[in-house]
Amino acid sequence: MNDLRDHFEEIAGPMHAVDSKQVEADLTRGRRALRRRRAVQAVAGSAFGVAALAAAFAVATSGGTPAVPADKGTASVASVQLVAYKGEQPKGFTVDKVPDGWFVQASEQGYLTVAPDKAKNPGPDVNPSTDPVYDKDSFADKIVIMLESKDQSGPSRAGKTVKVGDKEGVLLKSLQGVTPDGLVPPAPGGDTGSELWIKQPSGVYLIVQVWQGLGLTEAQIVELGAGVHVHKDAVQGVG
Amino acid sequence: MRRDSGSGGSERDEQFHAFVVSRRPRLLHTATLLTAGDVHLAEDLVQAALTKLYVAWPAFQRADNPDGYVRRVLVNALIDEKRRIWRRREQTMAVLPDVPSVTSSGAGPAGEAVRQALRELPPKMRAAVVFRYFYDLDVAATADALSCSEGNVKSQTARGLDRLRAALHQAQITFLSQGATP
Repeated sequence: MNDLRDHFEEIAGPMHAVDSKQVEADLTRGRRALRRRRAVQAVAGSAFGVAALAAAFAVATSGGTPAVPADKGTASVASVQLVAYKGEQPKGFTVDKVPDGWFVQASEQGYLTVAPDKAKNPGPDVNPSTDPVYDKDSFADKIVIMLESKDQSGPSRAGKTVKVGDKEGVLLKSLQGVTPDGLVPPAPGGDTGSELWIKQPSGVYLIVQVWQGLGLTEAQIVELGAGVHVHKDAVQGVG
Repeated sequence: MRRDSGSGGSERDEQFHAFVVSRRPRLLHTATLLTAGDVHLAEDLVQAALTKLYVAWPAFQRADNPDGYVRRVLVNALIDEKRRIWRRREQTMAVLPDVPSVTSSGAGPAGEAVRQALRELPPKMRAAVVFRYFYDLDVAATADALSCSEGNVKSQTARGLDRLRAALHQAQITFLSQGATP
């Protein structure tokens, strides 16, 4: 047995001190990967590696200080009405309500997107690269419902604590989006989007992400989240 | 969820920098064993693991067991690399691609036999043997690193050690039968 250990020692070789160039290179690779990840998340949404990088937006979270007055949230007056969802239910989740005139556009076990009806019938002059609502793999201009990634463990910062049905939730305002080309202008009224994190009995969080400028109030986001039911076959993404 | 808290690059950079300076040599040492002495592949693994750590830095910072977190990342990188190589080798090619060479350390026949046997173990089995037998991790910590059950760790370690011992034994027999004295 000691022979084996000696051979392992020889295979592992000596430990060399790290040089500063290696550290800098590691840092550069990390930064680059993080930028890439954020750009992919911005378009395709985060955790599932759906990479349609065409119209990259990155909406980020911030320190919990809403840019607009609380509860006027994304719009001072509700411009969207929530209605009972009557279409086919998604794979990993069930939704009770959606905004009036919206439908479940993409239904995967890891996430679903809810988009306006116009995305059902893109005209011949529609370019999904410049108008991502038509791209079913894009999260831009939509509501996205998903479980947190396996690499996440709840909201990364403080937000407004809310009651979502019988569960606890945290409502966060997103930070202004960032792309490799710079900051994305917020929607009129300063809205940068919202995220509602709802803790499930399993301990994993369900996330309802509302893109900037969709016109849902905070109360509506909470109401929407209260109507989402997570099924056993729902899966967490990675990344 | 799209950006970690504070996203202040400088704080993350500083912490990551300190981590790399203090831990990189050890990581490379472990990766070299996990790759059965392939120092080039080990360097790739360490780079991949460090990149993943940087991206997931807030999660790493929150981890109850940071060392375990790093081991998991390293093992995942090893398995990813194994898949990547497998896919690459499945392609039909007119000319064989270059495969990273293994750096010889000048070990004798027994050492080479162990290295070869270690290389032929499946990645998870190899990692189980390395963590349990070389780094003396307990079964639970090894199971955590490999994301598998403790029972699985025990069986993987036992089978891996059997194969390594057999290789070592065979090498010694061959060595002696050739008239050499140990």
